[in-house]
Amino acid sequence: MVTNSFIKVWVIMAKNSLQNKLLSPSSSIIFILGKLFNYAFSVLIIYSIFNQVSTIKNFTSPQAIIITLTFSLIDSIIQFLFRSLYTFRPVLLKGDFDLDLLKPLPSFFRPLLSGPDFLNVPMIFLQIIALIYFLIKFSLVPSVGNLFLFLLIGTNGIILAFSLHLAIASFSILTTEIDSLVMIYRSLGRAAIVPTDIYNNFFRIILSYVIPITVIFTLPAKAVLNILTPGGITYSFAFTILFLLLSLYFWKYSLKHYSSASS
Amino acid sequence: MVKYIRIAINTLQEYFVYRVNFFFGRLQVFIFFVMFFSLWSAVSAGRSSLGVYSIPQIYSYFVVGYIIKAFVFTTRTADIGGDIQNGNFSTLLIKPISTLKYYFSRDIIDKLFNLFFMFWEFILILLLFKPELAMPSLFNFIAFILFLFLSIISFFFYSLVISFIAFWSEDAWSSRFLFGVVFITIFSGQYIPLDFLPPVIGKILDYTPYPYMFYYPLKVWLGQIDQNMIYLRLLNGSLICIFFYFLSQFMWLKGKQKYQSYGN
Repeated sequence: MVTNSFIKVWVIMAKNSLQNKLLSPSSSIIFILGKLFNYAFSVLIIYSIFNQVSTIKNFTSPQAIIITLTFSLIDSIIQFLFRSLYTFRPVLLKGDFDLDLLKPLPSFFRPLLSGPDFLNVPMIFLQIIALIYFLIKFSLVPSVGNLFLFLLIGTNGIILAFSLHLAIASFSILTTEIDSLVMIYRSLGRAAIVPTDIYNNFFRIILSYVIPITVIFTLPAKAVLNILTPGGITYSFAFTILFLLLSLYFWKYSLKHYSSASS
Repeated sequence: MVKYIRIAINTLQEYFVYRVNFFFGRLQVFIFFVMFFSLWSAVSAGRSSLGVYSIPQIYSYFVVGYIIKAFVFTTRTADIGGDIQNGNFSTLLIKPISTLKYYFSRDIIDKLFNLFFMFWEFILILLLFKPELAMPSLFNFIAFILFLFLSIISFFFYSLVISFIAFWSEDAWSSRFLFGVVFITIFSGQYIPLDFLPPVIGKILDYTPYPYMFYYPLKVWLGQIDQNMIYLRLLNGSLICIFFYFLSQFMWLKGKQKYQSYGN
């Protein structure tokens, strides 16, 4: 029952968000064009790097390209779902968040889920088609089991991304600083354009255990490629549960210390 | 002159108000560097060269590139689009100051402030990564400085042009995202040296301003452009600078006539 009403509200907010994008079609097209360039050149860059070297830490060019394509797909889904975090700062500064806290919705609804970004939808479709095309082209089509594992680990990665966004929202409540923190996450996330295994120890540890970009992006890609170990699966689920609990705790802590900016 | 110094000081004070945001902003730039440096370290591991680059040259590409980014791509002209759209621009127009000089003053202080932090970050990079760097000859170093100067001026006017699009468009950030973020980072060679891309793309990019803002200054530093070509590239770079200067002036004049103040 609660879930149903939650979904109803999300659909209404999503419709509003879509209408908002449709109000300025030219700028929406320019944004999509930018995302398209970014996507195409990400693949081209990886292709060009592997033109210089045949393998990097045992990863071949086709594997690396599939990892890049999977990264882009998951990144677009995350951007679609949690985009409203990017506009949370003005809400905090104006004091409008007070009104959201009074509503019978989860307190994290406004900062994380209230404004899905529909500009990512065309990209998501395109990225799914490109991923399927390249999997067939490279003869890397996953088995049904691997596909199921990919969906499972991918969903797990999105839950972890939710936790990370929630931690950023919590931090922003305490400091009202948010823009650069989101950009740090984006910069670190971009590291997963290649398999995070190829980085040196220090950077790899940060990506695996501090800001777990590896779980969000690299492990689902490994599931598609059938190179995910049982240890990787366990680590993925254990880390997500731990991170989710910690970020929920941090969120509650930050709400306790929230003081309306306008009052 | 005094009022523009005052504007610069006020801008500096803004940074001290939003200290955490500035710190995270610099941290983001540093992380971006660490990511690409780590990526290229992994690519070059166990190899003596990559394409036309020796390993010290590939390290230099990204380490010296870090300095270029701080000099060239730090700007406050990106604020103009937002100011036009939210109506803040009106208050600037009625003040007894030159609007362009106002943004130029903010731009200068933004660059100086970022350069100050970049200097310490650069030392940290040298200490942490101990990269073996390729050093230029005296001639190439002087040419590099000239290129850098041209890049700074070109990007300033290029960024003004992007911001002035807001006079005609309903959203300032879409054009900034496409031309000021995506095109600049991809086509200027910040992700990958452009000669690693398929030759046809390199040839197309040669007719755009982007390689002149990042890639060619680095090629000069690395001594990979011969002397006659350096003169030609400098001439091209100067023409790009002049083109964007006149384009920005034209758009400024036309944009002011088109400007409609709304907002608060």
